[in-house]
Amino acid sequence: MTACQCTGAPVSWLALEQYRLGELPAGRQGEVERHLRECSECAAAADEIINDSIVLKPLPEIVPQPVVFRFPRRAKPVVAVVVPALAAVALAVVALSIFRTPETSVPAAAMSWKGGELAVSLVRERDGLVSHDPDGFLDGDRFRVEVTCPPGDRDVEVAVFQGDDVYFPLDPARLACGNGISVPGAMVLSGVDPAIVCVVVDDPPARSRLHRDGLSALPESAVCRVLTPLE
Amino acid sequence: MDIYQRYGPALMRKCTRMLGSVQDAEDIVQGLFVDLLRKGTTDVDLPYLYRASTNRCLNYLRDRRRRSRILETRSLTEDHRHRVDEPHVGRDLLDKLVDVLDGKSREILIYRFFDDMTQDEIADLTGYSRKTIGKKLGLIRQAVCELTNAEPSALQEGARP
Repeated sequence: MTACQCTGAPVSWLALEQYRLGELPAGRQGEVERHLRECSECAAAADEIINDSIVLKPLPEIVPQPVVFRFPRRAKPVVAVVVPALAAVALAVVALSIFRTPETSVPAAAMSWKGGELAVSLVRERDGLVSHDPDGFLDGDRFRVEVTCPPGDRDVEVAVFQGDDVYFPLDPARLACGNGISVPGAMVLSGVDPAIVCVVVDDPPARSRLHRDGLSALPESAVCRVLTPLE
Repeated sequence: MDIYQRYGPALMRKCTRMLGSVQDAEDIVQGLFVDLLRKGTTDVDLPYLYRASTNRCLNYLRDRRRRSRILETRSLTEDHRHRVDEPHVGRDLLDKLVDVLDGKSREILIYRFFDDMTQDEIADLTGYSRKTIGKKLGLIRQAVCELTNAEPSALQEGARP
C-alpha cells in the first residue's frame, strides 16, 4: 500500500478537473489552490491534467431522435381484458415472491409477457446447448434477444436491471421489425441477483434516466423478462 | 465551447483511469455525448457527466467478452496514480470486484479508489447517505481483503474514516 503524502484528504480528480475549468465554488477554488501549494502528490496530479493534451475524435453526425411511436391501444371486451389481467397479476405475484431479494424488487407494472403487439423471446446458449425462453441463468450464460414487433424500421433498446444496477449490454439497434427478429449481438449474464431483461421499441428513455429512476423510467410499451440466477 | 469540447477530456482521463484503454474510453465518452446530444440535453455539469461515465464504464467492464479484450491490451498502459490512504485497487482487481459487489458498492468503489473522493464528495455526487457509503466501503474493503488474501486489519489501518 502506498501512503498518501497529503496532510489531509487529497483533492479528488473531479475537483482537480473542476479547478482546471474554474467551475469550483469560490471558497473551494482557494482551498484547492492552497492545498496544491503544500501537497506535492496532488500538485503532480494537477500537472498531469494540465499537461495532458487529449485530441478528441470528432463526434459522428448526430441523428435527431425519431418521431415517438406508441403502440395503439385497442378497446377490448371486458372479459378479454380482465382474464388476461388477472392471469398477469397472478404471474407477477408468483414471480415477485420467488425473485424478491432484500435489494431487488420488480414493480408489477413493469412486467409483461407475450400477447401484446411487442413480444420478447430470450435464447440461452450454454456449452453449445440452446434453450428458448429459459427462466434462469448460470454465471457466464450467453443470451440472444428476439423481438416480435409491428412491421417497419424501428429503434430497439435492451436494458438489463440487476440488483440496483441497470446496464445496456447490446448496442441500440434499428431493426426491420417482424416476427422473431434477433437484436444484433449477444449478452452474457452473471451475478447473484435476478436479471430483468427489458426491451423498448421506438420510445427508449434516456439511459441516464434509466440509471436514475430504474424500472419506473420504462414506458408502458416496454416488455420485460425475468431470469433468476441458478445454483 | 460545446459540452463535448469542454468536458470530453476530463471524462477521457477518468474512463482511461478505470479501463486502462484509451480506445475504450474514447468509445464510452463518445457514446455518452452522442446519446445526450441526440436527446438535446446540453445543460449538464461535470459531476453529472462523471457519474454517467462511471456507470457506463462499469457496464462495459461487466461484459466479459469486452473484458477479456481489455485485459489483453491492458499491459500497454500503466495503472492509475494512487493518492488515497486506502488499499490500492488496480484494474485487474477492479475486474474481479465488479463481479462480487452490488451496483451501489461498485459505484462507490470507483469514486473512492479511482477518483479519490472523500465520503462527503461521494454523498454529494450520488445522493447516498454517509451511513450507506460507510457501510458499502466496509464491504468493499472486505472484498478487497478476500480477493488479495490480505489481513483485514492491515487494510483497515490504511482506511480513512
